[in-house]
Amino acid sequence: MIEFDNVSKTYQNKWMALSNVSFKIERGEFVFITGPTGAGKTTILKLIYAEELPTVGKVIVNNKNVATLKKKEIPFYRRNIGIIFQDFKLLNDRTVYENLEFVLKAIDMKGDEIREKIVRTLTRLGLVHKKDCYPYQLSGGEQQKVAIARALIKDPEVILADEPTGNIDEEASKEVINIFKEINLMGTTVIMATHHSELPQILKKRRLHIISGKIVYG
Amino acid sequence: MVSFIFKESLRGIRKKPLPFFLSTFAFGLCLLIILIFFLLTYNLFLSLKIAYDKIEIYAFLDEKVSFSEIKDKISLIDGVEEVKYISKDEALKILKEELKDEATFLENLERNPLPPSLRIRISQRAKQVTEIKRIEDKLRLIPGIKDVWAGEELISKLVKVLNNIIYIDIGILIVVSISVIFIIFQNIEQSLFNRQREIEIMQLVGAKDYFIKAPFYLEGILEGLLGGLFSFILLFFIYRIMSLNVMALSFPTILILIFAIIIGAFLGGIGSNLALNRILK
Repeated sequence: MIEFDNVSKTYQNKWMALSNVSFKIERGEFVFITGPTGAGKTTILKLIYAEELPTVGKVIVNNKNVATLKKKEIPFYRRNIGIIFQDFKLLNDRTVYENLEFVLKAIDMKGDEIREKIVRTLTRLGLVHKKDCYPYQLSGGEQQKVAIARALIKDPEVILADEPTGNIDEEASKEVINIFKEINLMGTTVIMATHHSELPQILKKRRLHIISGKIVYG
Repeated sequence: MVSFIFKESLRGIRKKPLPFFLSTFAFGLCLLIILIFFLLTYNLFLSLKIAYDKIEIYAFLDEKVSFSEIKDKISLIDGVEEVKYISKDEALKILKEELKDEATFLENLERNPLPPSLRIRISQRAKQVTEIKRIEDKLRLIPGIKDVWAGEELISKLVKVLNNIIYIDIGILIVVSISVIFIIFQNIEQSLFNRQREIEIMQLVGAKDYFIKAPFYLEGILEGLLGGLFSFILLFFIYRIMSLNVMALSFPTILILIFAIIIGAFLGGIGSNLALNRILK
């Protein structure tokens, strides 16, 4: 489903974030990308969701080279990907419901379907009673769950999570990890970047360990 | 889709209303300069049109020639609409009326020095320098006509004045337009910074490009539209004050209102477009 073929990425400041990286991720897999800060984990995710393009090599998703996507094709390509960040990236002036509604309206979904999807997703994550709360009224764990709901609500094939437990306490982290496991069990591919190198072992999942832009294990 | 774009645009304005209204105010003031020149040019055009409509050719006759002898020859010239004979006595009477109190010196004249003349009204089509010259040349060939005064120099000056005014207007329009576009540009740029997170989320979830940009276009157009309306209201007050205290001007309300709104919205759209292309590449 996702293949990196000898991918190197050099940013404009000549910093080489990735060097000759190759790997494959099959549909429905749960893969961790581990490594220290600055190792290139986020760059891998950015290359998957076409925020960045490789300097050398190919990133192939669903048999399509991401670099060949036209500018107008990228929005449709991203609709199949749910992205979750460490800092949640929620809109603080909108309620939980409105944060999710914003996403669905932005991809031009119509009224009745929007309400139904939001209620269903919030119920699944145990957040329906918080739908009228603003993000600042929620705990870190709850905010991250809203961010997961926002990624899930489009029914994506792939979930990319960039340090999703980085800003929340241990208890909330466990809950969030369990949610990712559940999502994966439903058939969604999950790729999680984290500096907690013990997580793959605990969950018995595949791991790509990256140091200084090179895959050293995986 | 439309309601989403409207709601997002209004949300952006509500989020930071002061910068929006301040830049709308500044936009309106700049646009007022354009509108003042528009109004003055419009009134000047009206005055010049009246002068233009009054253009006539004067032919001075030999005293021995009778009007009936040459009337037909003149009427046959292409472009001549009407010929009116003014006798020596009538000419003197007109002169006295025009001079009013200063006409006393005319009482002491032994004989009337004014020649009989013809006042020739020409068609609208013929009111051009080359056409008037052609009619003037034909009139000079008719025996009995001593002199002809057509005032084509005056007409040519009028045309020059009109052209210069149009050039000045275009110059002002360009300079002020650049200023107002810059005002909108800055406001939309600020708006884009204020709403970076919304934009980022929309890009990540797969919103189409125009969905992301449309609320900002709308904000710029709305600002231009309100600025246009504001400048119109200001101009109306200026017109009222001028009409009461300085001079009576013609004020084509609907024309100016439409002009202000359209030019405001247009410049607003351009300002938004520049900001969006700079920030959201």
